[in-house]
Order: sequence, then C-alpha cells, then structure tokens
Amino acid sequence: MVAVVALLLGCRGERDSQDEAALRAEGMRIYREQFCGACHAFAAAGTGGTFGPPHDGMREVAEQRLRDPRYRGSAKSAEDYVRESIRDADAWLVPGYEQALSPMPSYTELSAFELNALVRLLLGDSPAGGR
Amino acid sequence: MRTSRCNAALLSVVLIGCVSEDRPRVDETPAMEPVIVAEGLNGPAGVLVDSEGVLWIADAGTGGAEQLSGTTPGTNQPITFTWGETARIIRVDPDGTTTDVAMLPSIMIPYGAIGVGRFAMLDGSIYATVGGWEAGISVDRLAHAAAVVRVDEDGVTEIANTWDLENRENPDAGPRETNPWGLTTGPDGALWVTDAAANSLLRVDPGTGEVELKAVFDVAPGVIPNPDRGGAMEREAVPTAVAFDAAGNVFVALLGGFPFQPGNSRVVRVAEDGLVTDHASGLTMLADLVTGPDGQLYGVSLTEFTQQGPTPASGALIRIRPGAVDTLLAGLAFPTAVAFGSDGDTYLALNPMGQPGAGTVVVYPGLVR
Repeated sequence: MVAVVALLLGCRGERDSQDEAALRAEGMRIYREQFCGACHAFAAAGTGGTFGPPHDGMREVAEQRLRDPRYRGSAKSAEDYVRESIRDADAWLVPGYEQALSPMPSYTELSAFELNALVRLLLGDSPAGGR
Repeated sequence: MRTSRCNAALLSVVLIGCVSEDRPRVDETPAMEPVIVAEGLNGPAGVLVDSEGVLWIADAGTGGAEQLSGTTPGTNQPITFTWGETARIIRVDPDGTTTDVAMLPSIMIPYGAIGVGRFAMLDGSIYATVGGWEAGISVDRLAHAAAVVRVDEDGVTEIANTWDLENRENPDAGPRETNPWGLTTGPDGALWVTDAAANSLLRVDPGTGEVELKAVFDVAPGVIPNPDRGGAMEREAVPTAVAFDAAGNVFVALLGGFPFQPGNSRVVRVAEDGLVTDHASGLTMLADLVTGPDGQLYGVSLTEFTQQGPTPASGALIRIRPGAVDTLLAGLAFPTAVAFGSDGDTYLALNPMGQPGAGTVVVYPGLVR
C-alpha cells in the first residue's frame, strides 16, 4: 500500500514537473513574442537587450527590490513583484532605468495564463532551448 | 551594460555591392580595409568634412558629476540625471592634428550619454545640434542643451533651442521632450533640424534663431504597447537625419521606433506644405542620411534589432536610389553617421553604445565617387 502511494505521488510529482516545464516553455514563447529581449538580457532566452534591467536571477532580484526603501509598488512577494512589473510597469521603475530608451510598457492585454507563464519562466529554472 | 558582444569584430567588414554601367561607381576593391582617423571617442554621433578637408566629430561625452532631478513623465517617479560639460566638438585637421574646440553639456542616461549630435557648415561657420530636454526636470533648461549652436572664433553661441516650441506646442501630442539631432543646411540658407524625440522637422533661421515647425511625423503601427501613447500598439517615427537633393527636395530618415524591427525604417519626402510621403521603405534603423558626391542619398543602418536585442556587427552603409537600395558596406559595428570628403573618401562614425572610449571614426578612401 505504501509503495502504491509512493508510486502515485511520484507520478504526480513527475506530472507537475512536466506541467511546470510546459508552462515555462510557453512563457519563453511569450517572452520572445513580446520583444522582452529587445530591452532585457536573459541568459535562458539568449537575449542581450540593455535598455532595461537584466532578468537573470529574477527571484533573488525581486526579493531584493521588495526590500529596497525606494520601492513604490504594492507587491508582497517575488511572484507579485514580477506580475506587477509586467502588468503595471508604472508602479515602480528600477532605479537607473527610469529614463530607458523606451519606457517599459504595461502589458495589460496579456491573459492571466500568459502572465502566469512569464512569471514561472522568470522565477523558475530556465527551460531547455535558449536562443 | 552587456556590450561585450557588441564589440566583437569592430572593424570586420565585407564590401557588398554590384557595379553596373548605369549605377554610380563604387570602388571594386573586394575587401576594403578602413583607416582609423579618430579613436577613444565617447558615443560619436556625427561627422562632417568641410571644404578645407577638416574632419569634425561630435562626441556625446560621459555625463559628469552634476545632478539634475526630476520626475518621469507619466509616472511621477523621482529620477536623477547626472551631467557635465564633457560632450565635445572635435576638429581633425588634414595633417592629423586633433583639437577639442568646444565642450558642451553631456547628460547621462542608462544606455549612454546625450551630447553633441550632428553638424552643418554655413558661411564658413560650424553649427551643431546638442543634447535634449524634457518636461519634469526640476530646473530650467541648461544652457546649450536642446539647442543649435554655432562654434567659431567667438566660442560657442546658442542660435536656437527646440525646447520652447516643444513645451509650448507639443506638435506630436506625445510626451513633452525634445532631442534636436539631424542637421543640414538648406538651399534657402537656413538650418534644417530633425527632432528625434518630438518627431518633427524644424527650420531654424541662423540669423534670428526663429524655429519654424515644417512637419510632424506620425506614429506607425507597432507590435507592443506604447506607454507614451496610452498603451496603443503604435511606434514613434524618430526622425534621425535630413538631407536635400540637388533639386531642393527635402528628405528625412525615420528610424522607426521601438522595437526597431528590421524593415520598419524609411526615408520620407517632405513637401513645402509639410505633407509627408514615402520615398524609400523597408529599411532598417536608419541613423543618418546624407547626399553623396554623386547626388544620391546615402544612409547608415545602425544595427539589426531583433527580439533578442541588437545584433553585433550588423550595421551597414547603403545608397538609396529611386526604386532601389544598394548595400555598400555590411557588418559594421553600430554606424551612427556618414560623411563624404574629397575624392570619394567616406567617413563613418562607429559607436559601440554605452561603452565610453570605444567609439571610432574610420575612412574608406575613395569608396564613393
């Protein structure tokens, strides 16, 4: 019985992992489709944009920014921060990038699924594929 | 900034082009090596060769220690700029003597400095566009910023500024910001200026300083929301250069707005009444436009900008003829300006963006005759 439960949990874990990978892959597709790399360097995507802050190590970066006394947004977690940065870019601009060549757009037209996919991409391990 | 890849193959170029009997002659040397005439530059943005063979170079500078505070347009977030008088107008004499003839405001922004832009020669004096300005800055416009200046034995004289008109009229209905950039002398003896931030063409009377709006360049359909246009799927025109042909027709290069997709740049013709019509389309990030010694229009494509960002060494020198575009040089590292000297000598400013001291000006002897 224990072995069966363990097997089922293992299968579920494997399925969750596959779902997560698929979500991040979708996030990568959206990342490229929305020209994120035109401004942001992100090793997983093979992009080299310099007009905006880099996206590598985003979970740690997001948590640092939430602790920044200059932060003006309303996010309480790294997930919220990334979501806010995409959906409501005007909430807070990273110091040093306030005068970017082109201001960060607020991607209000992305669906909840698309937004979630981007968040998973930026906060999780990068999917295989790169450039 | 991640510019290490952009420095790769700085002077690795390939000459591409065909020679035919009915086309202006391009030197047939299969692999032409450029000669460096100036190096160690900070964001070289403009070059001009005068009738005496003197080369003039616009250097954007490195900002400085002074600070300006303001708020971001639309978000009212506090921002701080740094600036200093580190932008330069550089003179290179035919014997190679190099002189900094003027130091002007250089304002640092994340991807580089904004300083001296382009040149024009009129009645023996050199004129230049300098810097930019925008709403929200806590002080009055800096002297010589967002301006057309004259440099002569009397020093630097501000002839006109483009901020007053932009702040008063904001003709493109976008954010209130000005960046006088392209500059040339017209057949009417006036200075013609493209305002890359205000998306306009201006005529400046060098005697009175009067600034006249000649045309406004509309937005075009875009692929991402434009925060400067309320999130509309539109991209700015960004006029980078102005040139006249022998018949007195005026042409303007439009860079084509973020995200600078290949093929979105074009050359337009501006009629007397300000009507803007397409002259050549399907171009890529046209950063400069000049009339060559053969009367044809020549331009530089800055880079191929894709979903991955700028592509290293993907700039080009092109000739724009009626109904055709020829690539004369490819594989260039961020060419920002082109100028012609005597005997077809072709000068290019190469500008690894954001990397102080890495800019150069090179010459291809006899490339275009």
